[in-house]
Amino acid sequence: MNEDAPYVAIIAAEACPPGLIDEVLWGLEEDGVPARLLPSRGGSTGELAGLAAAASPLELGIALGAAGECAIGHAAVQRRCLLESEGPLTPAQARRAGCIAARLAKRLTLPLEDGTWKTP
Amino acid sequence: MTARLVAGVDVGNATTEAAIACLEAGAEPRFIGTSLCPTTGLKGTIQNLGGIETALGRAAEQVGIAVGALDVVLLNDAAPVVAGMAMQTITETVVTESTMVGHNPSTPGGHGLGVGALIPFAALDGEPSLDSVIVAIPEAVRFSDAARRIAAALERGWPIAGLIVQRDDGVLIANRLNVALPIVDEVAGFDLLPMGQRTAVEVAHPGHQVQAICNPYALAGLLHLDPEETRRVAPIARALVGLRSGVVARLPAGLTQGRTIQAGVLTVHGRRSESVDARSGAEAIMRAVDNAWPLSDVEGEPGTNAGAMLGTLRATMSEISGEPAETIRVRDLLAVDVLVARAVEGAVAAGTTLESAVGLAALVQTSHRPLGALAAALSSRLGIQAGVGGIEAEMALRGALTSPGVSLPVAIVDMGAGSVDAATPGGEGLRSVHLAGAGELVTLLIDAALGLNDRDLAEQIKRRPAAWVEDLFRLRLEDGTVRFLPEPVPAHLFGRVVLLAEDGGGELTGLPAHLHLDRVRSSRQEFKAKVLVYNTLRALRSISSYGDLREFSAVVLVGGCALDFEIPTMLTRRLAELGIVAGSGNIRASQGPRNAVATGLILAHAEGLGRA
Repeated sequence: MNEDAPYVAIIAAEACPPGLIDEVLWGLEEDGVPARLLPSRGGSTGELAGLAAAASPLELGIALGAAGECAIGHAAVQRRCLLESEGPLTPAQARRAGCIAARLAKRLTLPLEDGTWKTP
Repeated sequence: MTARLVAGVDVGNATTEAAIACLEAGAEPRFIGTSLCPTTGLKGTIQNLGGIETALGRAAEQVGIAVGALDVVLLNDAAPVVAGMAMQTITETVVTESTMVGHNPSTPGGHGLGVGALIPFAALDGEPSLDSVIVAIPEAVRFSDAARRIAAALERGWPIAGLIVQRDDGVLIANRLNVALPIVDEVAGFDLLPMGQRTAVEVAHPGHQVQAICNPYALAGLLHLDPEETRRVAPIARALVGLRSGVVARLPAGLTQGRTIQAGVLTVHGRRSESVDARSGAEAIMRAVDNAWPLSDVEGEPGTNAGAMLGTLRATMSEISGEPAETIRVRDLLAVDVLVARAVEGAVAAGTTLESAVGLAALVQTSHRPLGALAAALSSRLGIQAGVGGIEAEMALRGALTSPGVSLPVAIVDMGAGSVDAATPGGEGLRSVHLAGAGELVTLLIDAALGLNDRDLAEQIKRRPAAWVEDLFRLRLEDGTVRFLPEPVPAHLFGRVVLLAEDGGGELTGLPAHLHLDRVRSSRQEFKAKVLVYNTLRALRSISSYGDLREFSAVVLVGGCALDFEIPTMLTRRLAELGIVAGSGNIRASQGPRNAVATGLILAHAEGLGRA
């Protein structure tokens, strides 16, 4: 595997429902953006999104919490994550989270109209 | 003469400008206050009083006096013309039933061109058909199940040529198949798909565009159309040009109804009468206007779009001028072609196509000129002397001559909200003209062409340069350069085209997601050229002695549009090609292209006092 190949990094809490992780991955896949699931670790979703972003060649990270809450981070924004979900995600919202991260990577407008997301 | 405080007030279509000067015997007028505010009511009516008082109040505040301390207020003798606008599409694409599915989902799957009978997903459980099929996959079917069963069906011999998927699963399904099939997804009107009908699905490689389904003759071959059906399918093909994917299905009852609305005939009356089919577009209409110039009226054929357009104009003019619609006479007309993005009526997916439309601006002469009444009301309200100071064009010329580097002979072009006016000294007096169509028409055209349905936003697009938010901290500007931001852009602006602040500051206004930077810039510049550059040349030709613009060696641009960030340079460049020195005026070396008329009023008054 080419270690320099671009990907969006994902860190999920150990207790995160696996179905949600799949949905996020499928959201990224549908938009044609490679993703890589990193090992679970402790921390808030905001912190984990920052760590994932720092590990991503695309500088984009997604974190999923134990209850299914989500944060999206960018390595260029260290102080906070870019977007945080208002609460645990449904499967459809998790798919959308992958799509949002993919569109960030592709520099396209973001589908934020459904009120799922807030800027911390 | 003791020192007198004199105010000049210019009531324009959109703004009211004031200047205050101190006049002393034997000295040049000393300008001490200037202001600007929105015009209240129709220019030249008693409703202007509110704006005049505001403008005077602001200028007096600058000087540190009360308005009542002014010795005299001079109003411009406003040109008795009112501008109005209308727009009408002259073509319309109507798709009967569910012929066209295809649109442009952000992520279609696979690639290629497939054609065959459209069958429901469940039909794959049966025996394979002999002829190729397009399979419709409803949202109830997960992509993994869909991919598995499509793969199995292919193995069993089903000749599957393409897929239409209700959910946004095109790439996910394509990634789980061993063969490349064209897959169009995110089909909102899935339930309307015409099962059993011959259907073509095309998906181009990323960065490429569909080639077959946007070509009427290719469609004819794919869907087995006769020449008449091919002619009718042309509007659908046109709507698919430039897309990456799309679907067209053949219906048994015929494909489409590409309808051209009864556009109607415009008849221009003047030196002679000329009729022109509105469908032949702006160029033909303007040729008729030129041939008939000067105009006495314009009529539209009743019961047609041309008639409706003129009717709308007359009703608007009647409303704002207070004169009966039947007595309104159109004295000038500007027609501009515009392609308007419209949803394709009858399409299953959210397809749009560009329809031809004509935007019209008209100018009518009004008989109501209550300037005396306005001056009297102002006088009684403020307790000071007020009067009508002079003809607008003449005052504008006087004011323009205070710009450094400007001297006679010169022509001035005043580009306002509703009209473009031009004047030059000639013969005994002044040659001047008022032409329909200026800043407001540019706004209307931008609004229509970009499909905004938001006149305020269109106005902002007209006034401000755009940029693309290409990253959290980076704006790609129209000239290709990059501006870095100190803070990340808000998420809702990411990837969008934004408008830069007029003052160059940091405030960004996001535009709708479907707009691209090139389109925003090209529309803005196109309509500024079609309205303001075109009208400026038309105005100069009108006031020239023999219709030759080269007789003007110098042109000074004044008015609100001369403050625009690109209109003056567009005109400077265009007029330079004709050997004419042109640029925005700088009234009194301090006001830019503003305040020419108000300044001219005071200068004329001072000259009169000097002679007395």
